[in-house]
Amino acid sequence: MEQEKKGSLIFILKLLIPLLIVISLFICGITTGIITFEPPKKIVNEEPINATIIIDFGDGITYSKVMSIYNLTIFDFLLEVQKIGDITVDSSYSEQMGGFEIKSITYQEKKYIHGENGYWWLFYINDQFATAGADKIYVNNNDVIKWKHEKF
Amino acid sequence: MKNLLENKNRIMLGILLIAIGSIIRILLHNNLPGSPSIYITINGLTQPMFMFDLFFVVAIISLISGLLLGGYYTFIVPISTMIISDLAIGNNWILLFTWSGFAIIGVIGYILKTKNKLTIKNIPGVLGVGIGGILLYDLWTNFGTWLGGWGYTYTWEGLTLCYTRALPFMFWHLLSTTITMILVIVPIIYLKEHKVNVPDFNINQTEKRITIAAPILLMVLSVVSLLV
Repeated sequence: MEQEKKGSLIFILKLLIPLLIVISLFICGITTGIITFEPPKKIVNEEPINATIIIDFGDGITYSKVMSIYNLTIFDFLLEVQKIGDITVDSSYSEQMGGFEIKSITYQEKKYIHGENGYWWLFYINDQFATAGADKIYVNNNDVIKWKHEKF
Repeated sequence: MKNLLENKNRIMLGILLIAIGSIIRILLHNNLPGSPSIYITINGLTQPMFMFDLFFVVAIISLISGLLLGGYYTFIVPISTMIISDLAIGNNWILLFTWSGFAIIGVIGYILKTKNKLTIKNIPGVLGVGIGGILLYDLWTNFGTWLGGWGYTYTWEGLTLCYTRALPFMFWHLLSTTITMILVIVPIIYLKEHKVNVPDFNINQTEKRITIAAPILLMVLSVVSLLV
């Protein structure tokens, strides 16, 4: 009987201890600021910054420009190039992604469609692939933003 | 005659699992909610804590195929589920890594079955091994993402960045699959222990060996496919 009680206690502890560890880690994360309930704050630059945008159309054609910009997300940076008149960007808001999604980029009268023949518009910040949405990340000084129409 | 009947039941159960997994994955893949407003900052990188996907559906199907069917079904069921749903949803070069990842989870379920660990007393152990399987899957598939050169440099920094960026997926995999395991696997163990008719199939030595060898072969193929 005593043995059975001890066995039951060990069984409950085996389930409870990992659960308590996870809850404790979560609470520690909140108290130390590692876990937050607010999205990352917008970086406000006092001065305009310089950044490079490279658009690789995946067929050997590449567009590149160094621009002076002020508080722009990576998505807005692309729209700045559109304002110059060099490219045309077609985008839409995706409820599922919770952000803007590129539909196509037109350059020299050729339309490069997102998802056509397995080619997708992906972007890289200083050669590193980004998983967050382009409208969620702000461009920093001397960043190289590369948009690539690549097979994925 | 008994063998024939047993095999028929096994095939039917296998087809049922493949159908359930494929249908759920195809129907729900476009209807996942956005990330909740919980953010985590690691190494200066702030990102949502959870990124929703349907990993837990195929993970549970893989575990059940290993636990109940065993043998060839350990890898046939998860891989068939993935192939059928991938044909509808689409996939990319990482597919061999994800397929072999689910086959590994299936084998973990099968090993639990062969070691006779499916008892109520061992529920914490089964959950622990299941969680270990999820971690193994994420380690393996994210290694594939890094190896595939998908924007990550072939340096230690590139590898750690790849794993850091994958954390929201891993947290969601751990949370969703642990809850699903409690809801699905625990009742199966309970029924098995209370002598309710949970099927137990005979598996010969050759089938056992192939069951272990198949995911290993698939893992090797995954790496080779990226290197060639």
